[in-house]
Amino acid sequence: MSSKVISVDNLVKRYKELIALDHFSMDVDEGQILGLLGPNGSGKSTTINCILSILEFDSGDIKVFGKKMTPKSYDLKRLIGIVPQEVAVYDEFTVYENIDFFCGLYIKDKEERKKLVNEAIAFVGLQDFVKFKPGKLSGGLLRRLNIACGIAHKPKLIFFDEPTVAVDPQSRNNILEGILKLRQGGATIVYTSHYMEEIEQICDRVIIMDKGQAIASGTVDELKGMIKKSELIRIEVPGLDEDTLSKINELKNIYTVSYEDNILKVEAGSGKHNVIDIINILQDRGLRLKKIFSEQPTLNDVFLEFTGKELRDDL
Amino acid sequence: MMMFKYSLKKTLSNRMFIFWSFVFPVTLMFFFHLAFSSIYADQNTIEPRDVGVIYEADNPFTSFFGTVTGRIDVLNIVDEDEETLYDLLGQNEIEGIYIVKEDIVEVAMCPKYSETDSMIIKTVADYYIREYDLVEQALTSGDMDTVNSMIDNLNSQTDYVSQKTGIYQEETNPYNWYYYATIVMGIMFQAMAGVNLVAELQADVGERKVAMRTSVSPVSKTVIVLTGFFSRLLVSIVISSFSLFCMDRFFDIPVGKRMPQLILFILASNMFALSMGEMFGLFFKGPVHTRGNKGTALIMTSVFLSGEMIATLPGMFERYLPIVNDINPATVLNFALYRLVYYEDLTSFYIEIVKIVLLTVLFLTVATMKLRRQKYASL
Repeated sequence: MSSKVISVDNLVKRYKELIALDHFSMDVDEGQILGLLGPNGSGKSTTINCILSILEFDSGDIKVFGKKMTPKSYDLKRLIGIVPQEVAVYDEFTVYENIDFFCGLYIKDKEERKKLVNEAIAFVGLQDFVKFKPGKLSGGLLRRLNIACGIAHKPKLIFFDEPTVAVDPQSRNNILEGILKLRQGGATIVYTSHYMEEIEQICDRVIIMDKGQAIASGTVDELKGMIKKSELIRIEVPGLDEDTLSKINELKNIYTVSYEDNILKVEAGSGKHNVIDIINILQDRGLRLKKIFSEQPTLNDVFLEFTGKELRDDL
Repeated sequence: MMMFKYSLKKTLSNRMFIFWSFVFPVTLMFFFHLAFSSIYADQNTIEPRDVGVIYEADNPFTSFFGTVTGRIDVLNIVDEDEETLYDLLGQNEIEGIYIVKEDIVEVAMCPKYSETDSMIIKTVADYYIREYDLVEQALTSGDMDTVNSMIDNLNSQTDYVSQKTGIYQEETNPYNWYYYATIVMGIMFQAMAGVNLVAELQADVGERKVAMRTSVSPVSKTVIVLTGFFSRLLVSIVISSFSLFCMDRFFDIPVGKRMPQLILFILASNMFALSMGEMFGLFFKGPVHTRGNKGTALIMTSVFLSGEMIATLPGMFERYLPIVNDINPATVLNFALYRLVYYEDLTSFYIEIVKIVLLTVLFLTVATMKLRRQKYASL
C-alpha cells in the first residue's frame, strides 16, 4: 500500500472578499503524478503555495510526508523541489551557476553538488549552454533551466506549476518526457496546468478545480466516465441495411444510431470497446469499411458538464 | 559560504549599482577637478607686483621704507634708476613706482593698471604712513618684534580667507564640498543594493521571481537576509574606500589623517545606505525597478539639498531652516565627512555618526519586522 506524500484537508484561503480555496481537499500517493487542472484563477497555484507554506491560509490542515507543514519545516523542505510558473533564475549567473546556486540551498557538500548539478544539466539537455547567461537562452531553453534549478537536488516531491506555458511543442514534449522520467526515478509529482492534453498524457490522477473547489477527481478514464457525453463514432460503409442498424442499436452503451449518405453515425456511452463491437458486426455481414472516426470525450467535456463552461474559455 | 560567494557575484554583476555608486561619482569628481581645481588657487594667490622705489629724501622715514617693502611678499622691487623706472612704467613693464619723500609716500601707477594692482600698491603705502610712528618708536627703542609684526600684518592682508585657528586642521576650500557631496552621493546609491536584497525575498517584486525558490528552500530567511546584507556591505565598503582613495590621490582632495574615524564613517554610512535601500524595497510599491527608481528620486533630492549642485545650500538652510539639514541624510553624511577632515575637535563628527547609526538601527529594525511578516505569493 502506497503512503500519502501530501494530505490536504478542508483548506480555505481568502483574499479579502475573494475565496481562493473553498474547503479544498486532496491526497497524493507516493510515486504518483497528480494533475491539478483548472482555468486561471481556479486556485491551483494558491494550493501549491499553501502546501509550500509560502502563503498563509485561513483554515484547514496540510501534511507533507505525514508531518504538518510550516514555514520552518526545513527537514520537509529539503525533500521538496519547485518549478515555478515563471522562469525563476538569476540573470547575472550562467546556466551552471544558477543550478549550482539553487542546488546549494539544499546540498552543502561541494563535490556532491557538482555531481548533482552535472546530472541536472544532462537531464534537461543543457550541456552546450552551461556558460550561457539566461538572457542568451531561448524560451524553451529557459524553461529547461527553470526545471533543472528545481530538480538538481533530487527532491522526492516536485511541484510543477504550469511549466509549459509559452513553450514550443517540441520543448513541451521534452518537458513531459522528463517529468515521466522523474517519476520513474521515484519522485512524486504535482503538476498544474490548464492544458488538458498534457494532464491526460502524464497524470495518474487528476483533480479538476474551479473557483477554489475540487469539482471532480479520479483517473482520466474515471473522470470521462462521470459524464453523460457520448463517444461519437462515424464509419463510412456503403450498403447498410435496417437489420444491421438494429443489431448495432442493441449493443451495450449505444444511445443513437443513424445512417445517411453511406455514413453510419453512432453515439455511445463510456466504454472501451464500442468501436470494435460495431466493426465486428459490420465485418460479420461482409460489409466493406472505408473510413472510421471516433471522437472520445475530453477533459474539457468533463469540465463543461460539471461547470457549464468550457475550460478553454478561460485560457 | 556558497551563498555569500554568489551574493557577491550578484552585486558585482549589477551594472546599474556599480555605475551609480562608483563610476558616476568618480566621473563627476573628474569633471569637478577639471572645472574647479585651479579656481580656488587663482582666487587666493596674488602674483607679486613689480614696483620701483624713488627716494627724494634721505632720513629714517625713507630708509626704513626700503627695508619694509623688500620683505613684503606681494611686491617685487625693481632696482633701477629713476629714468629707467619711469620708462618701464610707461611701457607697463612695472605696475607702479613709490616716490618716497620726507614724510610721505606717493604712488605712480602704470597706464594699464588694474584695480587690484592699485589696491595692493596703495595699501602698502597707506599702511606704512599710518603705522610709521609706531615703527619709529620701535626703531628708536630697538624693538624689532614690533617691526616684524608690522611686516607680517602687511603680508597677511593678502589672504582673503581668514581662518579661525583651533577649529580647522586642514586648509579649507569651499569647492571641496562638491567632492564630499559626490562621495556621499555614491554611498547613498548603495541603497540600490538594499532594494535588490529585499526584492530577492519577495516573489511578487523581483524581475525574476527567485524568491519563490529561496522561500521554499531549507535555508532560513534570517540566513538569506544576513548573507545578502553582509556581502553587499562588503562590496559597498570597497567601493566607498576606492572612491575616497581616488578623490585623495587623483583629485587632491584631502580625506584627513584619522584612519579609525574614516573607517567608522565608511562603515556607518554604508550600513545606513543599505538599510535605507531595504526600506525603499519594502515600502515602495511596484516591481523592483520601480522601487529602485523611486529610491533614486529620493536620493537625488537628498543629495541636491546637501549641496551637490549648489554648495551654499546647506549654509542657507542652516540660517533659515536648520531642520532640513538635521533630517536630510545626505547633509548629515556630508557634515560628518567634512568635519572629520577639517575640524580639530571631533565632537560634531561623532554627533553626526550617532545620528546615522540611530537611523540605521531604526531602518533595520523596521525592515526585519516587515520582512518577517511578508507574504510572498500572489494569487
